[in-house]
Amino acid sequence: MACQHYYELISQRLDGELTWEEEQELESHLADCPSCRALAEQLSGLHEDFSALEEIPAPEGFVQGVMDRIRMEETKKVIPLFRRPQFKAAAGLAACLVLCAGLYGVGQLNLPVQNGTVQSASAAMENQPEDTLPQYKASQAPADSDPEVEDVPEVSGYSFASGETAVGESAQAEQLTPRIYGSDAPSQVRSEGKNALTEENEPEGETQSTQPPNDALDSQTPQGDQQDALAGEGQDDPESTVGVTDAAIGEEGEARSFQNEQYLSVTYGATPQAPSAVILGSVQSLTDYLAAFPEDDLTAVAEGYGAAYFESGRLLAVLVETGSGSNSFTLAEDGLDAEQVVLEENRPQEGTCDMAAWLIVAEVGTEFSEGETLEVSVVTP
Amino acid sequence: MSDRDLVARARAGDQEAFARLVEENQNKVYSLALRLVGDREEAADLAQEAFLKAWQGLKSFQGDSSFATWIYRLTTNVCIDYLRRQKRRQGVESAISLDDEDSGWAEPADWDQDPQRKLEQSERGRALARAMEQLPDHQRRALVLRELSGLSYQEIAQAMSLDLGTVKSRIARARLALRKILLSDGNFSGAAPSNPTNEKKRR
Repeated sequence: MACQHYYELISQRLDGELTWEEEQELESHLADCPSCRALAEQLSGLHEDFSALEEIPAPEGFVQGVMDRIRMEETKKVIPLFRRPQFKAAAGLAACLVLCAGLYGVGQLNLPVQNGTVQSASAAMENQPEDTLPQYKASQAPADSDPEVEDVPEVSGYSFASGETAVGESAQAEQLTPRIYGSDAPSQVRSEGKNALTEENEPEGETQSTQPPNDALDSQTPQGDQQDALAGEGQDDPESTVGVTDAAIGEEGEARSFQNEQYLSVTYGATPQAPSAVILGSVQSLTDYLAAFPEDDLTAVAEGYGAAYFESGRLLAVLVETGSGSNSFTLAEDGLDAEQVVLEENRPQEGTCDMAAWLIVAEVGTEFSEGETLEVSVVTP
Repeated sequence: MSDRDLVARARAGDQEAFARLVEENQNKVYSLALRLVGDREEAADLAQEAFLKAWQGLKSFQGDSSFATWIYRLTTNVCIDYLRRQKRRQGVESAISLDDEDSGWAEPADWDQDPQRKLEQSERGRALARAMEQLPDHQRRALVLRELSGLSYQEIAQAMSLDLGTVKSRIARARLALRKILLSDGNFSGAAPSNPTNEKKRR
């Protein structure tokens, strides 16, 4: 019994973690106690054996897996570029210029075509057959921020005519409304981003076929998730977010009220489900929902809403990711209806480029039911 | 090519050179991760993450220590982060089950059966590796942080959110348990009982 006290000291001595007093105490005990002496020797041998501790071979393909991840990371540095506020702002600006040019063009339509206008068109455009010209210009316009007036007649035709424009045969063009014109530019840019992304990810695809074990590992990592989330987002972009957003505001559905919003920063990467909005109607579903954020302290939310609250109210939980930690989101006033929730994204002039994720929780009424999901739209005021 | 050269090349962006460093250190790093987290898949993932961090941090690696030491440290940190996350995820419930401090000391029996035969170093290393696998996770983890990662008791306490007393006793228990396992396997090589004075000088 008395000896047990010394086992710990014997162990501590091996690690050089004894005080001088403890050392003295142990020494004097060891002098009197052969069994503790024997133990001390055995443990010391054990301690020394650690230098010879056999290594466990890393799984096959380990090195390749590391190198794949390195390449993936290097790629990832490129992707967020398209999500950076500066980039989006530039794209938006380009779109505005085109829109202005278009409006200007409308004003000019009734005037005879000026010589200068036609001649300033680029040689490439002159060589285009008539019918493909508008489409070509539509995709070029945002990228060439050259504010020349050359596009005017075509652009205005493209954007303001409905149905029978030069590009009327494409389904996309039929959906276009004047409003969307401004948002077409970013989505153009985004699809370029998507292409870049697809290409860059090709090595990863190869890995999947040749190195299944590593890749399985990769996809479990937060990085893997982020990557997937990014890829997924890139692919969804053209038909979701921007294009749909603007048109939807205030048009369909009656605005529903919400209150006591809470804006919570959550760990980026734990949010492959973003953007999403779901109605929580019970303590259980709130708990389950918050469990997806083990990294974050969300106890204020968890404790704020008990069974009593859910008897007469629901919670709206919105999750969004942003390319910059300095961007913030606000639930747009009148931005909530039965189908969707609109967020305003505020971007400071100087943004950081770190990824961030936000969880927004707001109280809503019982006209929403548990588990309902809403479309999330993000607008930039 | 020496590690130093490889590091210099890798720092300049040479992925091939870095791949060599990974190859040379993979087993060491993977072993450490596996012994800390106790799950092969997680260990491989975390070990890869550590190398990824090394690649990203090469610029800040001064070369004061060897690459091996540095990557070992990175691995330890990556694993500690993982264990903390895991602990938080599992919540209070397992925080309790992680601590079995009241389960009492394993009585170090069989003094006299201590086998004298000295195994070759590699055999001892193998026996120890096998015995390690039989340790309860929390004991193995604490001991690995001490013996392999070289953390002080204070650092371990901080890393694992334990108090110092728990760290002391956990490491001691781990050693006693290892000893017991090795004894029962007939693999205990211990120090020869003939040089006790040597032991006393050890700090």
